[in-house]
Amino acid sequence: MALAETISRKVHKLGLVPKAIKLLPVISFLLAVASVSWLLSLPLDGNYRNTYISENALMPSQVTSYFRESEWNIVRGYRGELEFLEQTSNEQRNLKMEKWLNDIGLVTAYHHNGFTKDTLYAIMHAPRGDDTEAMVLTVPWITSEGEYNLGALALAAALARYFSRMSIWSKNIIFVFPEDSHAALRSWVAAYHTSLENTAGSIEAAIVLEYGKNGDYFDYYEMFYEGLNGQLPNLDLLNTANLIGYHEGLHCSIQGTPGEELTKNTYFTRLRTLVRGIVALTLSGLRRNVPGCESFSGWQIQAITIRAKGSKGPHDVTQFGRVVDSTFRSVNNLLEKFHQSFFFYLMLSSKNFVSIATYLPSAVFLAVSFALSSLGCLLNSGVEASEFVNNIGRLLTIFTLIELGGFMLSLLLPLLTINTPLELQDEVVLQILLVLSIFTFILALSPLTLKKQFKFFKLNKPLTFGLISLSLFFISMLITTLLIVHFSLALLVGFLSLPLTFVQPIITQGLREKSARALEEDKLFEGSKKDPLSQIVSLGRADKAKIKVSLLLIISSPFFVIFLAGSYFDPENGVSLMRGLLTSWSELQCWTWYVVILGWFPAWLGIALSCVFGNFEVDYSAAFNDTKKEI
Amino acid sequence: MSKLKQVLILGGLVRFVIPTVLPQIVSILSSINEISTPVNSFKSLQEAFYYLRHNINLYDGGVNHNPPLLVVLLSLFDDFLPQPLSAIAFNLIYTLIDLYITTILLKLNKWYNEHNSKRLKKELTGFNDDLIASFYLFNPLIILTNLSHSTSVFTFLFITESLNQLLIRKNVWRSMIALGLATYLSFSPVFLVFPILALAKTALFKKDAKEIYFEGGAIFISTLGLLFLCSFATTASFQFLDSCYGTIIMFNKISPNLGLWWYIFTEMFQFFTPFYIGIFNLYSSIFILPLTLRLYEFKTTAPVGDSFLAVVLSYIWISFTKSYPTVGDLAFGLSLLPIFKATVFPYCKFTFIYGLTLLVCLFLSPIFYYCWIVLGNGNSNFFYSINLIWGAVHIFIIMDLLWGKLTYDYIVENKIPEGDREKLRLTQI
Repeated sequence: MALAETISRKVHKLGLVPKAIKLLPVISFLLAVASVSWLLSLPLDGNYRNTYISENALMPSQVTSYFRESEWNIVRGYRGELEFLEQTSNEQRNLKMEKWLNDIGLVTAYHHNGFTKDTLYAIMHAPRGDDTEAMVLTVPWITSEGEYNLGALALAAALARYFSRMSIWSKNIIFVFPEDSHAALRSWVAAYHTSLENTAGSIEAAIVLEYGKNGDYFDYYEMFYEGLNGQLPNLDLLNTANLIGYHEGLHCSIQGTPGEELTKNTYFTRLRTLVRGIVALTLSGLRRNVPGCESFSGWQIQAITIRAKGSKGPHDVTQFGRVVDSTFRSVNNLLEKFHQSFFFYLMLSSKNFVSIATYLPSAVFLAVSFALSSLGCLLNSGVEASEFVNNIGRLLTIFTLIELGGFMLSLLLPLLTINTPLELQDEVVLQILLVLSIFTFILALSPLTLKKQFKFFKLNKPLTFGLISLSLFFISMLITTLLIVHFSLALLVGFLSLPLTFVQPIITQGLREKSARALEEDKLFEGSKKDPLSQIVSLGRADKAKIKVSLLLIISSPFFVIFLAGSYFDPENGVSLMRGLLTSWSELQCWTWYVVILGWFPAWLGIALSCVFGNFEVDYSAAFNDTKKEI
Repeated sequence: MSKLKQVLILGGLVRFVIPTVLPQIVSILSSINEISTPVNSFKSLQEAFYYLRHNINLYDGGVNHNPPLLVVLLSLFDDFLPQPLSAIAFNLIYTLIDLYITTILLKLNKWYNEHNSKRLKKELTGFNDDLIASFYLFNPLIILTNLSHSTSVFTFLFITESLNQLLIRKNVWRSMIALGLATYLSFSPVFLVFPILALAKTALFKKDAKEIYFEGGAIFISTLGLLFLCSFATTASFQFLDSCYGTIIMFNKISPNLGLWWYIFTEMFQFFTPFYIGIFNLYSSIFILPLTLRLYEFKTTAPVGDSFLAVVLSYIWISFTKSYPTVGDLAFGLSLLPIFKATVFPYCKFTFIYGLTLLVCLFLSPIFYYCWIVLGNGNSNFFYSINLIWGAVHIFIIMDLLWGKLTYDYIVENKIPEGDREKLRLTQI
């Protein structure tokens, strides 16, 4: 304690505490800036690392793959047959595929999920293994882009035939053919671990294949790896697949890097990949056209999706098959579960990444920024600590009520959406989003328009500041708790609700300026008798503060952001993001919606309510003294 | 209705109605490793009931670590009442225990302020009764511990009862019997015997010191001896000694918990184990006597020292060094702290910092455990890092209270006037 005591003495001597308290809003803002700049500095040379294989047992591309040109004819043969199946029903397609797999000697079974078409799966029992571990090759009938997955299906059938002739497998191989890679696949994965009769042990790794009607040749391949709820597959799996692709001469694109830029590796390409990666991880599972690898999240399965792009070449379809073959042979070597490499990382390109220790500070800064502005709100309010303590019961009651409201919404809105027929869902979601947006707009604009006499209830001064402070603290804790589990969600919620930290300083500043002007005009004593909030309307400059506050509230409102982001990502159908939020829990067990409605929204509502009904009255004598000091 | 009554009724309702309406909550909470551990979980107690009913040795299979008398007494409710009723009976027992502890805390608060007012010859006012009661009854960690029906609630009961007998009833014998019971239930209160006997000396001025120590010690030991004999009589073997206390002393159950030690036994080389066991057992007792002596209320000098604080600090130290700590252990210590409102607390400077640390720790601990065990993307280091912070919070609290107390003593000793206390900056005492 002696050291702490010495430091605190020094701090007192220099009078740092009052200075720091005054500067808290500035410090908080600087921390937010530091957070952004930290993120921006990650793609700089020296801050990121090159990927490497951490688990020695994997030994990627150490063996020659025999899935070569001789198998090409077989792929073509299957593809020719599959072309006829495009127009037929799911049952017929599955029957045909099942017959092929049975002919090879695989055990097949169906998963009836009850809400969409059945999922066919086949198990190839390992000739050498103890039948307790498995790898999964998933080929949805329809790709995430809505195309018939012709190439991948032909490849899967050819690979099954090729795999069954090899005696090296020590892990079972499961082939899964879901209708699409959304809820159908997710329910298969859940059923595999709970109710399916034919199973093949714990799944170590899974690859989802997408190869549409590209024909025999493709230009490069795309890789997707984001799991649900912020989960990522072990970096070793990505690296293995990438290294194999590299040895095949293939270019890998992650986060939608266009084909012509794959050879570039500059600061800006890395930054773009980083930002897109964060957004993609936040939105994973919320969009309709998911790549499929996220369906395996939560069961300790490492999963990636690879998709062939372009049809000109120079690469041929067997090379795509070789990536799968070699990756499976690497995974086949594993003696333990994937554990060696990173589970928390951000990719900057297919060959560069930043690990958790490097990127985490940016979200920590953000959390501290919110905590400090929460503290600043308490300390700069001019309210005695004892008054806060006296109001703490009421404060907690108000916040609990807000949270309860959020809880009701969090349960009711998804129920409403799920229980409407599929055709009408967009309509219902649109209405929900409209109602919520109008509500937030009205609330955000109220400080500007609502006159004193229309306020049906009023918060006293400690409650006003207490509520803002509690809400900011709540966001800070939200970021802290999500920090590890779902970094990108924590970061984005933090950035998007950052405007909320400016609300209280702007209001106080506005009122102070106003009182200073009143002082100039020698109207101090007249002004102090009336409620300053009602007077602001008549004063031009202080009005600006209110406009600012309304704007801040609007841009940090969750529903406004959801609406904007939804229309950006899907211009034709702006409600898709909201619909994803509302349905993703029941379909994929993705809890982003609950973070929004139980974390972000209550904090926003708390601050908005205290702006509308609060009492920010500044202490005129203090303002007077301050102004005098400045003069 | 007075505020205190409202608090008591509401606190009681929370404890009784929730598990009655949602019976599954008890088994859910008793599976959470922050709330209950193998040695105090209600699940293992129920397992023991089953063993007893089917004439199986209570300690076969290594599931049960509750002492035989507790199992036998509580199994009566299980045996003589039909299923839903027995669950409700348990809800009622646990509710009543917490309410009883609350009423004792109120008395202790009153005693402490009167005692110190007399010593310092000035009127001290503590928190109101309703606040003291709500600090205990609405402490979420205490509520969770109670809802999980953890058997540490009985230990809390007997520790408070020991203080009650000593300070309110002025009876050292019965106090030692209660402490003996607490020790019988969970071993670690054995270390409290020193600070409590020291407190006995200051609480009962009239008696001779030697008499108190010898009598108290003798009663304590004979209580334990009697309890062990009864246990032997009921189980016909001394196996319970190994299962109940051996597990605690030898750190046998290394399932992850909030403590600092499980990690060392799971992740370190085997041949270090005896060394660690020795060190950790030494650690759990080594600071008890110094704390007791430093805060002893000697008669001759100025009214400095605070034996009651020594008991609380020793308790927090025990919670820090325990082999199987839960959130409830710290929470019980924390709910004793408001009693020091008028004396030590104003001089504690870092409450805000460790309050926040504690909060973050409580949020992150289950998340990191989930990352490690369920998602598989974290590892044991994640969870253990939070355990280290959890330990640091204990040390922070102890240091801050001790420093606050020493500052206060300095003020009393040097008769520093009220106005100068704010400016007082001490670096070393």
